[in-house]
Amino acid sequence: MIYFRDQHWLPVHGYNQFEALIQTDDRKREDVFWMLRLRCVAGGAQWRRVRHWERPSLWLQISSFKPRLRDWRDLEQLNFWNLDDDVDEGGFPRFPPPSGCLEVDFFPESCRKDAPHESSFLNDAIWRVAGRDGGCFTVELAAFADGRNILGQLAAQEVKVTPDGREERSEPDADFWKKNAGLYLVEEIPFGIVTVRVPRNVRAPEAYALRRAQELVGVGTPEHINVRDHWKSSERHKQNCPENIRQDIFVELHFNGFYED
Amino acid sequence: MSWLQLHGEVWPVTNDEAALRVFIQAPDVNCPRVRWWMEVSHYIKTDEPPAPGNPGVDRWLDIEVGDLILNLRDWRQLAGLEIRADSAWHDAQEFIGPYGHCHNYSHVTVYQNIMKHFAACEGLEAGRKCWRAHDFILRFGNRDGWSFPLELDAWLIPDEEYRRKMPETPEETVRFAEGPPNFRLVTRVTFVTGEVEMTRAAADDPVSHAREILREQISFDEMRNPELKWHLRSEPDGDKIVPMPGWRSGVFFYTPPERLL
Repeated sequence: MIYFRDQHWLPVHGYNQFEALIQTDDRKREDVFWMLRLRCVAGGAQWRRVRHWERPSLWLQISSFKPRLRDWRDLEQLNFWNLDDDVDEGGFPRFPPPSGCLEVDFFPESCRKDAPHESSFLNDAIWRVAGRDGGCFTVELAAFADGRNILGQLAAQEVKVTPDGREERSEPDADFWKKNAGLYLVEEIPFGIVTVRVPRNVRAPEAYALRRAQELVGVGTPEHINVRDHWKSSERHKQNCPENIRQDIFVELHFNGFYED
Repeated sequence: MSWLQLHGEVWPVTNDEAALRVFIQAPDVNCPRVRWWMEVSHYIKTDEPPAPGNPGVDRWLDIEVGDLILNLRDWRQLAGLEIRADSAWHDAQEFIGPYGHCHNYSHVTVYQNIMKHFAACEGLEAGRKCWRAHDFILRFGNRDGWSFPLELDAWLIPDEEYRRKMPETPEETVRFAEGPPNFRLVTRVTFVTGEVEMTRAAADDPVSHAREILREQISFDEMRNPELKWHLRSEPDGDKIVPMPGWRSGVFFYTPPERLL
């Protein structure tokens, strides 16, 4: 479920996923670049005569968050449900924030190239993973134009006293976030793609990529492997120029079974 | 037997019958997995023996009702099923498929094809014309083996007027089946064929796994003439795209009528 501007939204399966990028010089699990992508389009029977690419569309991306994980399954322990963590002891914003960099684009008319769109209207987000079912994670996210405004309302939440005398502030429910956040969602998001940057002189790029992904992300057997060699589609390749050893190959390992067809 | 009425004109009765197909998505998709299709072509043959070069057909209609999400645990539950495709029904049908494409709202499509010789005789316009309907009522009768009597009433809209850029107003959305239908079909529909999409996890024996999935999803036990098609994939170190054993696959099958269409 996605709550944004009083519109019914349909999540775009196949696009929405967790992704990891392993660069050639990544050595530790913490070096891996992680990203969460989510896209949705307006839905409901009133849109049945409008093609989906001509409907309002919301695109969201969170990148550079740093999960502490032994393997990809530990994404289920992600918890960035606290805006305070995004500022340092001096009260200055951390960059990148531990919860990652948020980018949101809203296309009110269509998602065609060059269509008018709004961006940077949601700047802060809290998010967490509530659970995992196989390769799918339940992600809860609330995003705000300015997260500082919400802190006061959170402080006003009811305080309960536990039997042992401790005070606990109640956690707001979904209705609170629907009312106070610019965007609130709870969605099933699969572990999707691990992209491995592979040096051109590697003899078996697919096997190398799989080994690197197993070592750094703990993956199993992918559903699909896509080798992207940008050199082969370049003008210089067409002109029979010698291969550039520094132009790496990108091997995409797809784990949720879907790939761009 | 196929009887139909299009825009008030009752067409000659033919012996054509409708074919019913099922498609079951792989278990790892994040959307409804079982979709049904129904199609029938209603051919009006020439009275005279056809001259050389004349295909022997004056005109015909191709009728499709596609992408039905019926949520049946047993295909035999089609017997007695009535679908009133109003806006609430369409709301329940809506989702984005695994490849990121919007599930194309279940609707009726009617293609009229008129041959030149017939158009010249009757003063009609030769060629192909298409209508679509999202307002329709579909009724299945009692099961007879693999077949069901079927009635379809639809409120067709010319294809060129069907697609819009703006959503329907709330008043337009709630309207349903106003006035008499401009398309009516009475025929017999037979469950003839289907496809089950398989993940790599089933790559050791996709056909056996497909049997299990058919049993689990639609209580179907009599898969005939299964045909395994491995998904296409680039060869390692090559540009050729070939069917790749051991990867995802599709298992096509026929039901006992084994009618090749």
